Amino acid sequence: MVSIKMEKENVVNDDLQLVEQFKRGAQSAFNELVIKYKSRIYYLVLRIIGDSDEAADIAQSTFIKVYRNLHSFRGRSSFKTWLYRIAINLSKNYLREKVRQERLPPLPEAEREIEGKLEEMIARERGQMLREAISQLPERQRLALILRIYEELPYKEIARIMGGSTGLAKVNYFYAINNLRKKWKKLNFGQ
Amino acid sequence: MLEMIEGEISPALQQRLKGHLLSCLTCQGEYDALRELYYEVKGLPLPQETEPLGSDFLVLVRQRIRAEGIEPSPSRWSRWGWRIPSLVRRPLLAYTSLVVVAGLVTAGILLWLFFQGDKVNLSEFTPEEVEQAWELISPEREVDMEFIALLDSLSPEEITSFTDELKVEVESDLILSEVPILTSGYLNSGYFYDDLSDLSPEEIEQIVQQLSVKESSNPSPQKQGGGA
Repeated sequence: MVSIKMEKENVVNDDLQLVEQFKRGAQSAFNELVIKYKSRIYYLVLRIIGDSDEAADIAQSTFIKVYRNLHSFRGRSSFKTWLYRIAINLSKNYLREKVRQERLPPLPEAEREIEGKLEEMIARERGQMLREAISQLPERQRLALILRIYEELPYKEIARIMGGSTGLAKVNYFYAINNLRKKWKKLNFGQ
Repeated sequence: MLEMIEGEISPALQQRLKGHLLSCLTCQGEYDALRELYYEVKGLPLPQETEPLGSDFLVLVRQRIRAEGIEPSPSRWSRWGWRIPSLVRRPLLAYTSLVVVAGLVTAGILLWLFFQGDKVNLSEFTPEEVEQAWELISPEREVDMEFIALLDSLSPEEITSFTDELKVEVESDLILSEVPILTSGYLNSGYFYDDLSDLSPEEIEQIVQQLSVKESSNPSPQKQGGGA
């Protein structure tokens, strides 16, 4: 437990060191931050918006925004929290602008004719239904669920990223699971 | 139950819950369903089959940074750097340049000190005047997201004392995390007041005069008077 905590502190310190180096003019420090976080940001955005091309674009925009604002970053929160926050805000903006009033588009793989075993078809179908149910959750609940389950973040950090208290982050996550359970039950058993 | 699935509860509580689940079929059913759902969500593949981001990602980011013109240009140094050896060969020119540069730096410092000692008292202006002044000065101003993140982490009491200190009203039900890239969020964050206080009285006066001209040609019913 102690070693995990120390590891986290090291990560935070490493990031802050890179930020400081960047502020002193070392462009390579920014490159290191991009290389370190690009995949995490990409997959996080992909989970939120569901489109790989757009996710790559938003991931790029995230780092451009970081580049633009890094000089005013004062390290009061961790760099990672700040970065996630920017990525989530850009994803939310994208969803509001592009997918307003409509559900997330059906996924290409689900549209393709499935040639395979029956089990595979059922698994795909279940995955598609579940993803659909997640996409219908209220925004804050959905984000709390993604940050908790896929990013495995503690509630405290989720609260910092999303805004609001730790309790609120927990409530959003619990509500997300609860709502999902109801939807899932309905989809599975038609109740 | 969810915390038990995530392994977030103490071993003692876990034991008690397990004991209960053994004796209660309803709770056992609920637990199993929740556990199944949790792992089904966790194991859900990414929305689209996708290749991991390639090494060109960084190149693309750098290209966009250059295209947006926010990268500091290294060419400026390389453009002037080659002249330094030639200055060494011509000491009189080098000496004159040094004196001129030193003079400019000193003048800059003196001007800065002059304006530092004469800050504007923002309480003399109505919030509307300050808000309009800010819009005139810098409509495209970048938002300090880190500062907004800090505001979000404060308790309502801390926000109150903070806003009292800055004499800024923050809407009580405003979720700051929802508005960091909107101008209104920035205005409500109070940070722009800080920036505005760096202006000289003359600059503020000029802005207020512009506002007065604008106002007299187009009177606004919402204006509350007072101010400078």
